Amino acid sequence: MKRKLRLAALLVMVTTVVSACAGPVVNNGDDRDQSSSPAVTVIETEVKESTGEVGSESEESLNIGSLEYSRADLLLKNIQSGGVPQDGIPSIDEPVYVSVEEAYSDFLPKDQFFVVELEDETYLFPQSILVWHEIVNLEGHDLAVTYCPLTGSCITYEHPEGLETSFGTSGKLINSNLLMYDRSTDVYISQIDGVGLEDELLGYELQTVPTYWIRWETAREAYPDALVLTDDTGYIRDYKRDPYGSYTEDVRSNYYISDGVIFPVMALDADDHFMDKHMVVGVKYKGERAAIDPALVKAEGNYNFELAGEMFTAVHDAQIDTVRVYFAESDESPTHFEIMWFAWYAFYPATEVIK
Amino acid sequence: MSRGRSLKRFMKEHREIHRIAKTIAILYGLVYYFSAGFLRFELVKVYNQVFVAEAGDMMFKMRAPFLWESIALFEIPPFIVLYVSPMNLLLMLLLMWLVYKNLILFITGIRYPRVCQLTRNKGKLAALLPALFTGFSCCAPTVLIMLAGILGGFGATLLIVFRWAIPFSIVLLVYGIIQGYRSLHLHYPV
Repeated sequence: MKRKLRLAALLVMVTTVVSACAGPVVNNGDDRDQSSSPAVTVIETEVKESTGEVGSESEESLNIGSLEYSRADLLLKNIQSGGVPQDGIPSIDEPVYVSVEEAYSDFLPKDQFFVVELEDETYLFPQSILVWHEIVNLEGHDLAVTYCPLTGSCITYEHPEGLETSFGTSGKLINSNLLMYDRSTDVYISQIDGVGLEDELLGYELQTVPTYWIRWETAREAYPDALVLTDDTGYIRDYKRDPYGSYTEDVRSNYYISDGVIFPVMALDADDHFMDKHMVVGVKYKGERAAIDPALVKAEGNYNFELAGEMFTAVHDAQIDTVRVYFAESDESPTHFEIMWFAWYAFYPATEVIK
Repeated sequence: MSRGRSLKRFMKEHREIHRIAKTIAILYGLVYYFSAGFLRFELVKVYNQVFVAEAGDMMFKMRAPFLWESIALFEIPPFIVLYVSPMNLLLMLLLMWLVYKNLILFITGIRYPRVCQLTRNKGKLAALLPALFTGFSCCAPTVLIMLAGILGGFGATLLIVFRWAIPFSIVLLVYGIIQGYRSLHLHYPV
């Protein structure tokens, strides 16, 4: 009898503590939460691609709510908990900037930045700050600079047309990649895929603004008039320390160079085109994808390739040591960004590989 | 004389048990706060302090399971960097108190086995297992990155295990105290 009572007491305690503690972690206010589901759909073959009728390639104004996206279910089924609650990684919603001159000595020459060139202004975002926040909502521009440390992808997205909104982190991942959510509609958007996965934004492909990795020593020379994001973020973080490793120093347990991934992915490259964390330039156009080895473009100066019936040119911009991609016949760019190979392949196993 | 008063008398007569338990519990609290990333020892040249603007809201904001936001940072020369997270300080105090109580029973069980029904082995389990789990929970991200190559995609599963470490350890610690006190009450000669 006593033993039964003890067991009952223990059970009550476990239930109480567990329910009190787990609530904010598992439940982000979304009853379609997948984090507790251990099932991961692993696909090794080509997945159904987007129709190509949506997104930045479309010339007409998008009609939110009327689109379809054949991959949405597949992606939603592969959501993983990242171990943090919604907005547990807080976006920067009121960014504070200083001039390059003011920031000059705050960084080391090899420190990594992201550069976003807008018509009226150029912004420099320290990787050391974005690694703690992952999203910066740019006031006045209807843009969000998004960075996923686990996949090395920094992509600037325009907000969905007609929506006054901002993006936040969901605390979840797909293919080890940041799963964002649109705050006005509470809809998930995968950072790499850039397409709304549900409800009003289902199938809506966000338009991008080219964003590049750049070293501080290069950035401060190339963009002397740029605005530099400061660590006045409203949060207290150790911005001198990168929780995943380092891009500039030889440290132990360096996620950025070690092979292997932490979270399950939908597809792994069995042919080993590149090392898992090798940075490639991913290009998207009309439902087709290409992964370009930057080393090839740097060696050749520029490289022409065809994707979805369109000719493109990948150019090595020697001034900032990066690869830009343009339509062959214009100075416009398709969606392109640098990303770790394993993540690109996990989303797009049917990708073309240019190396 | 009631059992409660006789227990107090026993503890008064054996103050060294309190001292040892207090010392270990304080060390445990420091290790917890350190492993949660709120206390670091590194070279600090100039005293510096930072406070967040909206401390009232910020202190309840969760960054991760059992990890709340800091509202202040103190860099104290020559070696101390201290993040003040009130909720984590509260959790630390709770864990310290639970560990302290468990240790009293554990030490009593070892030194005065006739007083406490706990055998040595049981005592060790009650006090050490929870402490181990709590420490692991705080180090989870670091462990995951270190083991990324070995884990493949199983890091997510490990993360779920880590998530339960603190509630599990709290339950075990509370259970240890209840069981321990029950034994003491039953067997201390009144």
